[in-house]
Amino acid sequence: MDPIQLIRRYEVADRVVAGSLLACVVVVTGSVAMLAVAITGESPLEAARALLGGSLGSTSAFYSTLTKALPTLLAALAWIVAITAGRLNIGMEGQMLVGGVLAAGVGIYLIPLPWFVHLPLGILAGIAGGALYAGIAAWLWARWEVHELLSTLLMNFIAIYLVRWLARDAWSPQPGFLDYSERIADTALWPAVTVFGGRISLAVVIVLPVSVAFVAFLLRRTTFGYKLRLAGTNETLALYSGLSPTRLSVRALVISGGLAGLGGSCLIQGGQTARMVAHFSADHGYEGIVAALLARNGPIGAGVSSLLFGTLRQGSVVMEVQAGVSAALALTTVAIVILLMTLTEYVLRGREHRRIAHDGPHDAPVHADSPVTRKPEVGVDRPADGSTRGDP
Amino acid sequence: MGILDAAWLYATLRMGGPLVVTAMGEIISQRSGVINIGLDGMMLAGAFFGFLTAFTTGSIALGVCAGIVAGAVLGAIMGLLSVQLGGDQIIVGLGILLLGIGLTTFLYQELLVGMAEVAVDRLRPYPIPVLSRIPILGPILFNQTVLVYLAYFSVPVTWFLLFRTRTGVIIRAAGEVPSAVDANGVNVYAVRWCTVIVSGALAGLGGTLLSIGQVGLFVEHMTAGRGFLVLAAVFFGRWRPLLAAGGAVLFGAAYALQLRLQAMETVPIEVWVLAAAIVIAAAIRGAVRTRTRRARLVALGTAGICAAGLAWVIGTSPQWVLPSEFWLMVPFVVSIGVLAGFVGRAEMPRTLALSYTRPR
Repeated sequence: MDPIQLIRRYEVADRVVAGSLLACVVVVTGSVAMLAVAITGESPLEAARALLGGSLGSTSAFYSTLTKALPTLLAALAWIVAITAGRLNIGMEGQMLVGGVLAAGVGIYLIPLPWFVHLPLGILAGIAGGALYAGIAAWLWARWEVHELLSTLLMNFIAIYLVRWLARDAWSPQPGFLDYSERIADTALWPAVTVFGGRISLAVVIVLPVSVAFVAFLLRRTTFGYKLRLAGTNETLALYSGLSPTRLSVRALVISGGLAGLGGSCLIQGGQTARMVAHFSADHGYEGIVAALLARNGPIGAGVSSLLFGTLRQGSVVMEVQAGVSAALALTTVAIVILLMTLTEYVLRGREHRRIAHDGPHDAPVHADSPVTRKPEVGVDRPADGSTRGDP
Repeated sequence: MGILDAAWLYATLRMGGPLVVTAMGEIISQRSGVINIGLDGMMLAGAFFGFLTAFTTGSIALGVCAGIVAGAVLGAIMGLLSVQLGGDQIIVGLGILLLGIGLTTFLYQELLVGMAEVAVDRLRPYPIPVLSRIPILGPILFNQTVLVYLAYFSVPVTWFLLFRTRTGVIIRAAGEVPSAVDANGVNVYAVRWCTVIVSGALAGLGGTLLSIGQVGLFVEHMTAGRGFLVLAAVFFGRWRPLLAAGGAVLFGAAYALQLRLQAMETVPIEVWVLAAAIVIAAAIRGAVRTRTRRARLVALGTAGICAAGLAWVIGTSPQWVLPSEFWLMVPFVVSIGVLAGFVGRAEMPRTLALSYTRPR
């Protein structure tokens, strides 16, 4: 058989296997969670009804789910852009917070401004904040060889404390009593529209499709995206093609931070409260990583998996209120999904090994190793000037 | 009343303890080629289950054991997924991290919230008979709790294990050239399984040091990023036990400092001097290392501005109050600064974060 056709057929088969395995993962995780609910003495049926009814049961519930899925999606897109260039950005949490802080600052203090200036200014401030924060990590990596895995993780905590101080103290209407900021001016907030009998923020209607399309287009249809993929999959080849993997990585990290910052701005400007609270990113940043991995780092698939996490998040809030089950269970569930997902990867790799053992190595290019199992060499990256400082 | 006094040094060692013992486990596992970024989750599991056991049974020894076992179990999950099945170590570590946070928060809310008096007696200091009588040093070094001694004792043990025994050679080789280990008839998977479980167990011990050893209670997400500081200490220490322990103690010092600063009325002058000294030293070091003239000017300019600022602060002694959140940032800022300033020629285990697949 024509090798290209053979590979296509294998790819389809792999996708079917991956999809069914993921379904299994979700079902298994769900049952474990319900078991946990049963053990704590609540009714699992009631909890499940609250979870699904509260997230998908009505138009407005579904819109709330979408609103909660949006920041997760943007974090997922941020992860995808960085991992495409082979960088591990785990600092979306911090980048969202810093982006959101700038957006909130613009929204609270730059008044009065007409809405067509104020709203875009807030969004731009959010993007700039996230990009800047990721830019610090990128600079630390490119110039000082601090691995971005460490710097982004550590910077998350700096951002968390910064936001806590602003929300409870500096920007609070009554420091010490109210632990949220002043009201953000209406001109800086995304307007809401009524569709099918429910109110939905325009942030969701506009940002969600635009951001997915932007990332998909950037990575798949532009030269820059091609360079990023090259630098991410084969650093040596990129280097010998005259590209600077370091420079590309820095740009990827900055774009990634910008996307996360946009997520932060959406949380602030598209939220229901018009106030900034402490740690408003609420683990959306980590969830985004999982959503991206579930979608095997594809932007469009990430949209679908983010919806899953939005459902879980919105549903668990309702579940906590109606059925008295702690929302921390949702985080545990997410963790179990991550852990079980590695099993899926294992099965897929096993299929490929058996296939090679059966057919022999293909002459046609075998599709690149899954980005999840692909590991950038930790810490042996070259600085921008091509010197080999840090190499063994 | 100075703030950088004997009590601060005592607290430094006390707060550095959990970081040190966790760092030793992480060094062992990273030396064998497995990076474990879920340390925070493992520490939390140790802190929670250690506390829960100590609280229900009333026995601190049992609590410590439970904490170690809890960490080891998470380590075993990590071993199964990333060593045996070849899953991405970063991703599995992230899963362990979230599992630790989610599970302990969930169980804490279900089991302990709403009960009265959820606390155990804090571990009492155990002065070592003769040594604790030494003036100045004695009360600082030898009047700690048993767990803290244990934590610091793990440093020479780890060093000896890694650099003076056959086992240590095998562990390090598993991280450098796993195929050579395999060719010598040693099972790489088994080595990595063991190191990951040990790393989890020590992180669990570190967690119990926090909950039982320091405060006598459990708080949701009480590690608050300490696991990441441990990672930073390991990278800073270039995978050497003594140096990494030094880094961990440094972060402990930052914790001890921020804890005392939170209680202060105004920012004491020593802190300004310390901060300025660190920035000036870093800037001068940067000026020496850098290659371009412009960067050198920037670095020297920073040092100059800092010195001028310090002179102004000493001259006017302003009564500034900084909110506690800024002090909480201190360990993290210090860790990033330290990583940027001292990493340089890192001799990283060559197969770090790469899973090993035995050739058929």
